[in-house]
Amino acid sequence: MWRFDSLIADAQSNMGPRQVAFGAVVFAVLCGAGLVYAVQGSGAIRQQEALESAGSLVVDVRYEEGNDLALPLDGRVCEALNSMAGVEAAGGVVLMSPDPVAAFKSGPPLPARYVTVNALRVWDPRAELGLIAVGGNLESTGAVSVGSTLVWGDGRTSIIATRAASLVAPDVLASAVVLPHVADAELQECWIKMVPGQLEAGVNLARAAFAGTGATIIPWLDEPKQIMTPAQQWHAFADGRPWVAVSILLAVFAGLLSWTRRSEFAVYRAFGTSDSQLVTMILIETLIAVLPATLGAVTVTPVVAASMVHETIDAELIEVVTRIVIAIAVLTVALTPLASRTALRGKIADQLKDR
Amino acid sequence: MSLELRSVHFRYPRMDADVLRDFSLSVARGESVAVMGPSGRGKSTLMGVAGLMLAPQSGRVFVNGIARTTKDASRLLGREIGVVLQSVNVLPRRSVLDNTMLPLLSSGYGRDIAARRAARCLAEVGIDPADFGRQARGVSGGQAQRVGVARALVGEPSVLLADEPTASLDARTARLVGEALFSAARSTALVLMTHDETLGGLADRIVRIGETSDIEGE
Repeated sequence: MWRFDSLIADAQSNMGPRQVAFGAVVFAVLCGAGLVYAVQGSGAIRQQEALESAGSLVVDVRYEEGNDLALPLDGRVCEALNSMAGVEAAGGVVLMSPDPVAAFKSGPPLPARYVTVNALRVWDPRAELGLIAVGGNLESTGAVSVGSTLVWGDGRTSIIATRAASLVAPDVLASAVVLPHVADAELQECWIKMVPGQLEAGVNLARAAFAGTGATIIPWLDEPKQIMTPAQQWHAFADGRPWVAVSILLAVFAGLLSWTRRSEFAVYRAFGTSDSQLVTMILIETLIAVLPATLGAVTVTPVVAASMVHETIDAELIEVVTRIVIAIAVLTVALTPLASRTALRGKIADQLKDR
Repeated sequence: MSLELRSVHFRYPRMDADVLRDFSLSVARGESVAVMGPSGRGKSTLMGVAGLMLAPQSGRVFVNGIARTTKDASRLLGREIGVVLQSVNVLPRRSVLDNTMLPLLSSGYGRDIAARRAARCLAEVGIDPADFGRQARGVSGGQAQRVGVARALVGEPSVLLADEPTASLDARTARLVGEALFSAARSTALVLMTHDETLGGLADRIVRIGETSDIEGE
């Protein structure tokens, strides 16, 4: 019976060109698989981010002015939703139109709307609160821009301090001068942006908050997709099964390499080394080959992946690549003895003749 | 008797005829028997059965008086039964000494003891100590086969089975290997499968098989 330390030492002595080639292939495959996962996962996240910008997490509560049974929305209720669990931001458009405002004295009036303090943040998490903003579409006409002076009908002036959200923001924000307003007002529309995965809860929350108003409550996008957090998206992508197939292929490759060593195994068998001891030896040899390949892939792949997807090397990228690489490596090591067992079958004398 | 085969029948799956039929053989420690016959007539099969690598359909194999089966192979091979196979059976990238030590390591011996005993066996079969550290792929066929003999003997087996150990060697090398085999194996029950009359003639006794239509033992 082999002593375990002798078996390890013998496995180390057996390390040769085959094992080095196997290690190199494992390294290349692990890097390739890690990159594919990183690039595809990054693409999926960008798609999710685009959807999010388009309002896939927003619940739209709308007062229909032509509906006699409907009531304007209470701005205080809308703003109060900011403190509710699962709500990322809530704000809305004031029903009342502001006094006429122009780009210069006696100039034509600009389209302008009052919004509650947090309304801009529904569409842009980085929006500064309480500032006069210009919508992106209006700015693109050249009528006004950030820094422009606004002139009110009574001669007062104000400065446009910021830009309202992105081009995907609702037209009411994108095509007007956006003026902050206290929450104590009637609203035409209240937007509630939920955290990922809580859109359905947001609809229910809106129904409860605006019960009896006759408001139309629907998700902002017609077919909202279930949005997950970036971390959830990475994990969901990594939990896919392609890596299992990669591991099986690597193990089959290792099994084929073992097949070419049948005569070598026959020598061991000729002096009484049992199949289980040979399998253990193959397992140790596989570990010795795969371990540095795995460490190399874990180190190299996130860097290459980050450069390919033009992102910094963040913790999530490292985590998902590491998880995939290690999962493939572990499964490969576990499957290799199984795939190598066929190399141990047959008559010893016949296997020696294969040399 | 160190080795006894009693009324052994062996037939390979999907074959019509028995390769061994009612075959019996007894070999005492210190005795050498040459099993001779044409190629393909059952010598390697006999070696497989005697070495517990093949299970006969009927009959018994006794090693040192105890009935053994293929289940005992991993325990006895390399210890009570030494095997020299017809191909040059060394691990090519390992040293001559490493190749010889392997049965002892597989028996749980430490490397130091294994190396000492392996060196002694290598010297007995005429390997120059200067070659102990050489990779086995770098030695000649005759030397490699002598390494195989040393490895078969390093566990001090009571039975040594050698299957055409000189088949792949030229006449001069074959003679050297044969002499080394008989010299080193004098304290074992040596069963030598060969069709080489010269080599077989060195044995105490000759058993011929497969020279009639049926393959039968003594």
